Amino acid sequence: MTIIELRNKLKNKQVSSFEITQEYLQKIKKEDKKIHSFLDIYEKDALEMAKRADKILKENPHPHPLCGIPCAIKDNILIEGHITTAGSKILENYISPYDATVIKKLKDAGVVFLGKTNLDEFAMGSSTENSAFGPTRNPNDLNRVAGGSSGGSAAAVKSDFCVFALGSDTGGSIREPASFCGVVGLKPTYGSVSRYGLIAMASSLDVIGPITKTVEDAKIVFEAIRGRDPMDSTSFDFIPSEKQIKKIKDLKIAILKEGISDDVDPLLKESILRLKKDFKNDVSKIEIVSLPSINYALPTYYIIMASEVSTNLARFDGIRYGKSADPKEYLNVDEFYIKTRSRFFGPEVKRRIMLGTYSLSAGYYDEFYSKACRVQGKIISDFKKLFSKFDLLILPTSPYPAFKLGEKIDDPVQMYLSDIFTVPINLAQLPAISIPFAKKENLPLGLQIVGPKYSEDKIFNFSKFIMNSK
Amino acid sequence: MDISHILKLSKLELNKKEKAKMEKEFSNILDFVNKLQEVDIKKEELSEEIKNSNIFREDEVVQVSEKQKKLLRDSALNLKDGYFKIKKIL
Repeated sequence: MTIIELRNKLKNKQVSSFEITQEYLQKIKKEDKKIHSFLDIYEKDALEMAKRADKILKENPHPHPLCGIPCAIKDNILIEGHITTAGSKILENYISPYDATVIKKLKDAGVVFLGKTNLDEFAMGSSTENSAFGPTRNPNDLNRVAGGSSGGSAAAVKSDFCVFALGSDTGGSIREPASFCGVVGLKPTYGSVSRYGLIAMASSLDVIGPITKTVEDAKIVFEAIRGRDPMDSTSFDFIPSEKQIKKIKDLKIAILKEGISDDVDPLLKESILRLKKDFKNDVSKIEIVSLPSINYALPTYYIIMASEVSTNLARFDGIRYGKSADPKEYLNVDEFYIKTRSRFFGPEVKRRIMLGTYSLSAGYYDEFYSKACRVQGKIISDFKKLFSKFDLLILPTSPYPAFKLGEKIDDPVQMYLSDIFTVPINLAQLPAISIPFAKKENLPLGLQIVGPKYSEDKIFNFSKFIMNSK
Repeated sequence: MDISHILKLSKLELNKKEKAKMEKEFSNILDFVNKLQEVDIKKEELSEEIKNSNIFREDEVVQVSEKQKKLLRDSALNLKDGYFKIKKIL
């Protein structure tokens, strides 16, 4: 069920939030064993929230559009009084002491939280196989991955275990699982949604966004969670510009040349090329455009992201919160840190901490971190040039459909390549959506639509047009 | 490649088997990110645009609820008189 469908049902009193919440909880309990999209289910709390929402729906003639709608939250976003694991053993028992800003906003809107969804440990991964609590399976094919790191959220939305979900995206973690599962995922402009209460991975790239069944729903959730927050100094007030709402026939569309290379699934490549013909008369211009610096985006991303990871994860010391090594065994603090971190961090987290530490260390800083920042600047200015001539850019979300469980887990570099088309967007801080676009047998393939900063409305409009013209 | 020094800086340790595996993986990752060395960009070309501006707020003390205080206290390993107690450093 979509937000709009349920909102109408609630409005017409065909169903109460309490009844629908009960239905969802039962469905999760019955069917999630085979998918493993949830890490925690809020049975009691969800029903209480639903009761409160029903009261608002009864008394308020103009409730928030999300009032009484059951959703799921990625388990790296804090909900006060509940455990937030970030998919890691080190936070297995960590109880959130406060609400993330997005949670506060959704609570104020009257949203019902069904529980927390699975993710790669600290959101580091492209398959949810790095979760310390076991992988999430793809609802379209149980032998395949759901994508990652927001694999639990995408699989839960696809399975209709919730109406919508929140994810977080640092290098593709909303869009890639949305593509693999066949749902809609929005990575908003960096800073448009507060990061307060999101467990930090790479702070200059992290952003929270919605995973939904339709583009219309993604817009509703985005509008509910965005805006400046005094607790996040990089957040800003989002004022959509009237100018950006162009008519479809006035749009200038670029198709990324690197996105239709031979490394891309042939079916996806053909489907994208077909758009050029199909939309020729619908839009003002549709052309294939090359962005050569995109070829350096992945190594740039891995250095910048890992550097920030190594500093952000230094906070896990076993002293203030999280799991700890046995303090009786160790005499000095340094050894205590080492034992705690080595015991409770998983292999991918360790790899990224090491890569970041290396990139920032004396003698390597100029060659790695500083160089990566310069290449990031080049990528940003190349995107800027492109968007001075075009309104939107289209490219694949991932080069291929969901891969098999275990297929890439032993080869970190192969795993990183799944995000080749999503990481450049994070580096440039741009908004992008992934929409279900093509199908290879039963496996969905996503299309990514990117725009300049703050162009979410333009992205929504064109995405709706693509979905409707299929 | 020997990763002992990086492990030390990262405050991590690995057993012999894990270390052998990690050395191989880490060297593959370094080969992969080394692709950047092909790009020729001078220092002065560092783009202005990535320098986001911070939006500051007043640094004021805010009240935290008793419930939140309890959650914060309960997360700590060892708390004494409101301070974190650790083993001696020197």
